Amino acid sequence: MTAPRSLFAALSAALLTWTTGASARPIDAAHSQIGFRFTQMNVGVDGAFHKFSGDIDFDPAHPDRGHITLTIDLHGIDGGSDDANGLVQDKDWFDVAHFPSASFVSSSVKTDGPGRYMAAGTLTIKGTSRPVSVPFTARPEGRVLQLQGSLPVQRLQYKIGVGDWADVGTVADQVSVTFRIAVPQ
Amino acid sequence: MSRYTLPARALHWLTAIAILGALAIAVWIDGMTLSPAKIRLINYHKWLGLTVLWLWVLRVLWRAGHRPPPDVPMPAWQARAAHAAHWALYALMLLVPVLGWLTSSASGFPLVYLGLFHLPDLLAKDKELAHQLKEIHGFFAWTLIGIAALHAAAAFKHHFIDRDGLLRRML
Repeated sequence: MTAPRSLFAALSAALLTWTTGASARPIDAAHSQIGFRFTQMNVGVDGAFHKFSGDIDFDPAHPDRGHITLTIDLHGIDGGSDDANGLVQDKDWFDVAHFPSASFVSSSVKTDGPGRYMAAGTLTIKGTSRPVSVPFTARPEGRVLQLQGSLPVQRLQYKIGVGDWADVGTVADQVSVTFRIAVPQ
Repeated sequence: MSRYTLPARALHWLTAIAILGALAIAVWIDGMTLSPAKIRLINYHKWLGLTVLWLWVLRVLWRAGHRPPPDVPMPAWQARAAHAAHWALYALMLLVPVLGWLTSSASGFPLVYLGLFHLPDLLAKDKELAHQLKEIHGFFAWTLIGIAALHAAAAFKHHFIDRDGLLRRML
């Protein structure tokens, strides 16, 4: 009984892998970084998301079969200073009590020049979902595939920094989100 | 009675205004929770500090080529104290803005003078170091304010009590 059953399981797994191209792999969050740069009165300030997870199924040889899911736990946000961290989780900013995470889920991935790719999908922050296209590069490093890129985000489209903070003369609307994601192969 | 040259007088008073402005803002925002207003004020404080710094450079260059008017008659110890205070003020007017710049760099906030001119970071971001530098910046800033207050008090004493015309040299 045992042998046929495990054979069946192995066959099913093989079939699943074959039909979906590859299986999604959890990212190596410890060796990945997601940061952001915002601008206040023309002063660029760097912040970071320290807690995130994701599953990525991406083969540079077949980018169109790729699928990317990233989830950021906003409790791990670093606004760049103690002052900023004192309020970045508040209602006017990320309202982490009501919206504890942000996510990106791809709907399609395609080639965008040599070594360059574009993941179209949905970015959800603070309850607002918007379609975005994320350009990235993929580079193998040993047994890890490094996905790297950046995405400009208009913070007010997601109601990040409302009330007094909606004044873009102090904190600019555009925030550049940068990422380097390690996907073990 | 001979006065300080016009550039020397202008540099003196512009520096005084910039220092008092930076001080007023620093006291005002201390303990304030972060708001757009606070961000503006912090930036104005930094711009004023940088103004003190470049005024300092102009002033030292000007001073190198132009001797100030001779001392008015006064006891030797007072003249010595006045000159020591001037030296200390020159040193602090350089040190305090530079410490502020170091603090800003270590805090991860590059300086952009007047929102236009990007200045280099003097240090990499280091939260612990930034905290210590801020304390040191504050300590020397208050030392500067203390000596400047004595300097002003002495000038008023000459003007209102001694009536020796010393203050007019700077007006």
